Amino acid sequence: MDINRYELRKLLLHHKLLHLMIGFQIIAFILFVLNDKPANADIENNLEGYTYYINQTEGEITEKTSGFFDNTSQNYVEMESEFQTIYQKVSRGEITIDKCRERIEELNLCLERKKGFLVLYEQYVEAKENITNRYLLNTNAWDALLSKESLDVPLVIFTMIIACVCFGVEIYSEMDILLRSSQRGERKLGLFKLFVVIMLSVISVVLEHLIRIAFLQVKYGFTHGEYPLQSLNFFKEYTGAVSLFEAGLGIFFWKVLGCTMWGIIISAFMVLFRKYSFTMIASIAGLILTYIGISPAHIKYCLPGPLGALLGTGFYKGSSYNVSEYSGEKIYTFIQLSGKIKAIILGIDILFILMLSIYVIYKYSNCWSPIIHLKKKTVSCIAVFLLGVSTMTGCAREDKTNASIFNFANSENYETEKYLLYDEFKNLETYVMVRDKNTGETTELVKDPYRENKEIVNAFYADRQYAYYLEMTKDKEGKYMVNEYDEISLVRVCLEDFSSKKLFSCSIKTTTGDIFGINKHKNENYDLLGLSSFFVHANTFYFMTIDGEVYAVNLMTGNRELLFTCDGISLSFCNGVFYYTDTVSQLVEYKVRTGECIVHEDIIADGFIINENHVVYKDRTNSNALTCTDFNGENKVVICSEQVCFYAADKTHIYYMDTGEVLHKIDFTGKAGKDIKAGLASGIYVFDNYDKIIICDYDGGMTEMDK
Amino acid sequence: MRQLVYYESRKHFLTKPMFAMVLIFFIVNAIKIASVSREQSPFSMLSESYFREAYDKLYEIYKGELTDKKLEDIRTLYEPLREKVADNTYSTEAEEGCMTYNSFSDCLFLEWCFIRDIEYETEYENYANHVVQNAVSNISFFKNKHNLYEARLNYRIAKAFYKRKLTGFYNTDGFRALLYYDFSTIIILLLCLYGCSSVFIKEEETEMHLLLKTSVKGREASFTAKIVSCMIFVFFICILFSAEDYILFLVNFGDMAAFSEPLYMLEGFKDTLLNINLISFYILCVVSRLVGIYVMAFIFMIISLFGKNILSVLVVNIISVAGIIGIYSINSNGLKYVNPLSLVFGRKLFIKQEFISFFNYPVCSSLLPYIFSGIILIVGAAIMSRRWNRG
Repeated sequence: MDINRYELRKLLLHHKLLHLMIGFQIIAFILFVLNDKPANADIENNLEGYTYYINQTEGEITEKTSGFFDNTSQNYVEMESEFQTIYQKVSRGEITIDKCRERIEELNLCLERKKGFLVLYEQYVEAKENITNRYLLNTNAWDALLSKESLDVPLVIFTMIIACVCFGVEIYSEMDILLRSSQRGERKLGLFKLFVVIMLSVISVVLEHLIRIAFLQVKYGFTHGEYPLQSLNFFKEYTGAVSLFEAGLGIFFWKVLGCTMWGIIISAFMVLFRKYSFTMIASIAGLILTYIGISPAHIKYCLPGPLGALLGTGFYKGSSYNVSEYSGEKIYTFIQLSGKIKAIILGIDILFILMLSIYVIYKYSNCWSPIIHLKKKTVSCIAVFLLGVSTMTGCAREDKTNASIFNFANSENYETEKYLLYDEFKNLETYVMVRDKNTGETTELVKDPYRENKEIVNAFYADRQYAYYLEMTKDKEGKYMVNEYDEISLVRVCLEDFSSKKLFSCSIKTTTGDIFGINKHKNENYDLLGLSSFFVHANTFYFMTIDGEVYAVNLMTGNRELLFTCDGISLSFCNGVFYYTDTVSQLVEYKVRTGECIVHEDIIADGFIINENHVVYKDRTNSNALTCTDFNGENKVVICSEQVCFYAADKTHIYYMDTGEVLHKIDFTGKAGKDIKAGLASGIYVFDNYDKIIICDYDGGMTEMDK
Repeated sequence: MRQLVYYESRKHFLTKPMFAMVLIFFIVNAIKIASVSREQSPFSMLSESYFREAYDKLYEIYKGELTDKKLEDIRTLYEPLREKVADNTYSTEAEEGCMTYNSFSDCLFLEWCFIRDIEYETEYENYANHVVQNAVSNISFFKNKHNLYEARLNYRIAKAFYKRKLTGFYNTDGFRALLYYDFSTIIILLLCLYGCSSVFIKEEETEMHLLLKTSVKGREASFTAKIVSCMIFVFFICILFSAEDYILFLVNFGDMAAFSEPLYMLEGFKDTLLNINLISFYILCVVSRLVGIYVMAFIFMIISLFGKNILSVLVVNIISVAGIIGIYSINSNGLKYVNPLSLVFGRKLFIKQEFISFFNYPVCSSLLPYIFSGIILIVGAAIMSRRWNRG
């Protein structure tokens, strides 16, 4: 036994396998954490509301659950309609303002949960396709653990190193011949070495998994292992009764088996070829080439060898297919492996392991030689390099001088020192036009000669020097497939000389993977397609989706985060502070730097615009009267108590049009200016430092009028 | 010197395991190409062979230059079918006198295999004219704004798109599959990983490097010989597999007659500035892959020169390849110009050509990876020769 302990000590400490193991676990964990994005980000973003409802509906979909969903959605409809009318009741004097506030608070609590409910409702609709097998639960933790079909490259490399070191060191120094001639070297040594290889690979895969599970438990939390596997979207086509926990265990078992087999194969190659390079390259080539090269995917699992077991997930996946565009035939991309086939594969794998083990023991030996020493110098070189890279990535300078105000309501027109930029509707399409203030010369903003082949997104932004627009391109790789959008790019046009520069681009395909199309996962940038407006400030790209979610994307790193969710009607940004109306139309102030929210309960708005000192909004507590106030909610001035079609403001005046065809000009204290005969109009563009108003009519025509 | 190069090649590359590997990979590549061709060809998924037969018959008639008569012919063939299908009056039963199964399948067949391509080709001239118009109006606009760079860029675009026209109708499936085929690249990378990792480590491990350097040709000459032999190996492997790709796609698709057609015949390359034909573009891709792979091989060699034993060298090499692939996959905007893999997958550089301003002259950014590769090669060679001569 003593000798065995010595051998173990030699491998673990002298050959530094223990250090490598710790290093590998750390690296694998870091990579896992970096790559881990919630499978359903909407759940994480609306966790409170989602948890509230999932706690009541978890489990099988019964009549009761369906009833609950129907009732709740009905409730929401009622609540919304109540909310729509409650302010009217106040202005009619039917209820007091205090009572209304109380009720609004209650409603607000419920409406904040609405997004969470919608996420769950979506899940419910999907689950209804297969009521017997699909249960409702928070799937994020299970998805992160199970719903992946990718090769764990660090584990594969590490297991390879273990096997190479265990068997290779003595072979390489030709000392195995000596060992083999000793009494112990006859069989025991080979057996023990093989045991060490198996033990270390099993330990590393088990440890890696336990760390992951612990991390996921903390981050999302595993619940309800007893629910059927089909509850996860990834496995929805699977036919067979198996619970989440059993499937997790099964996949884990396959991975352990695969890892063991991979270690033994390397050992066998090592004793057979007696060369590190050939062993490593041949085994890696065998694994990677079959991994990338073989389609449809189920064949990977049927092959004898470690690949299928290392992937694991496919043993619990159901059949899936595409339908050919023009023959209507089903083209299977995956065929479910039946229990019988799985048993055969398992049998073959075990037989394979046994045969290889016998071969290794039959062929084998022991002794030692020096192994990789990472010199201090190399380490310092790497450290310096990493430091250099990290400084290159993280030095975005914040630009504070820029104090432009963004108003969603005015996002169709901007003004710079020299130019006016606005949307113009002609030939059934919207174009962004740039007009020189002095000469009146107009030109299109998008100068790209290839613009016919691209799709220009119907939103733009301009600050003092630059104008920004977004363009999308389509992917034309497959001729006989439906082409989806490929990339979205943010283009910046310098308004001095109109030179354009691509600032940022990212893929908006539904799924992304790496260059060989493997490791596919859901693309989170996909919802950039539903962008309704955007602006750029201090190297950050902010955008709002149609659902009212506001995201910030760092232009240097591409990182993005959800800032808040608003009602999607109004949004303003000024000096690092967002103003938006929440689900119950209260004006909220959000500071980007600190993430702090201040709710202005006095301002209940159905759309608003801000300028430096004032908020102009339609007051919901006063029959949508156009009202002007300052940010404290004091000095309220009712501008117009009737319904207003549209309104705009410059530095000194507010312009609005009521149901008549006359444009009214009024200053912030409520003093009426003059009335302008505008005729039928669909919108107005008002600019701070330009003495004319542009009035758009319904045919896309534009007329200029004096202020 | 020639002798020395030969000896080095024999030591590292002309070995039995290498021959075995090349042979096996050659066969694997052939199998993969066959399966890719089956997936990419429109007929693969159909069990019925009459689609193929009908296609061959029609293709014989319409291939070659697109004349007005041919256009009219195919439209008179297609339009009645389309109207019939649009009416929803087609039957699901087999019909007599149809090219394929029934009118419905005929219509889809014509649309997917002929009409779409023909429409793209006939509309391309119009599109190119639009681009030229846009660019020409931009030139004068930018000149007024004193923006020389954008004016020159637009001039280049206008010049490249001037009088572009697609006249020939050929089946481009083969070329599309060939240009988007990446599997052989990974094979070449693996072979280089195997071959180049051991170039400097063999003498080091056997402690013969000291002895080697005392010999007459042990210093600069053998260093040069090692690098040259490696270059020859990479060149040979790249050409071998590229030729295999081309020939096997030719065999599998049975038709590469489109080789003399311009690159923009493929819809994915609609906006390319290159006015070269498909075969030249394939050669360009092969060359850029060669350069990219050579840079990768150089990185392997540098690591092998600094390593102490083959195990550590291989492990570091494998990890660095995985890392470089990982970084390339992140698709970071700036890093892709530094990454040698962007040369290895060269076509992506030409699908979306971007320009940067260099003293107000537009410089194609697809040149940048070449420049960076040159820098890596020169710096790498300097570091290696210093290390070699010192040790």
